[in-house]
Amino acid sequence: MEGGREHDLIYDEITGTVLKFTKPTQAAYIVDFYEGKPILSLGDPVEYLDRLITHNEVFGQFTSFVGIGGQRYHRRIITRQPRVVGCQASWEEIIRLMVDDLGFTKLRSNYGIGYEESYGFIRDDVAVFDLRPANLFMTHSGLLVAVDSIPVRLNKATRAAFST
Amino acid sequence: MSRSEINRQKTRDYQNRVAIVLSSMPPMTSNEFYAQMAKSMGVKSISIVPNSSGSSKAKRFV
Repeated sequence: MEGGREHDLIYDEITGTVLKFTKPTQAAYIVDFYEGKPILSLGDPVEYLDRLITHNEVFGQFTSFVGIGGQRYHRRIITRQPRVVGCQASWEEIIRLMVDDLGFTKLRSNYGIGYEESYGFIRDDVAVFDLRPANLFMTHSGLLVAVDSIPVRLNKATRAAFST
Repeated sequence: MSRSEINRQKTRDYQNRVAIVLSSMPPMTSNEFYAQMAKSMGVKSISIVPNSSGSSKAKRFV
């Protein structure tokens, strides 16, 4: 089935997990830098996998790599996530998670990375973008779980591109 | 403890809580999953319809 701009999704009721397929011939989006400024860019497969690893490092190791599928000239990268039962997070809850619970600082701008209204955050050597209610679920236990984001690792030079 | 170490500890604590919560998630049927997804996408419903070949299923967003 169609999901968002980057993935198609299938819910596997038997295992209670979600299979995520990148759009055919694409590897979603990543954060790149052009003339010192952050930009949203189409990722290549390795960059996409690095994005998933970075997301896991921030939000928990629950997205796993399944394999490569699709048709011969329209390959897709397939990953699996557990089901998350809950409701959409609010913007305030997203800020609370990122700032109070995880020690990030909210960026003034999302630099055009992710959906228009989405938030970006920075901490030490990582920035995380595309945080918005559709990407985080408030579970019944009151814990927010992030099912998707566009994170990027930073070095001294690229970190300087962001202002808080 | 440095700020970076505090942040790492906060992250570990959060991730441990996530692991516990995910391991105890209640079961979810396909209908419940797609209803939750429709809500998060801001559409009224997602229904199953045959695709053009009739061999498999696609989802329709309403």
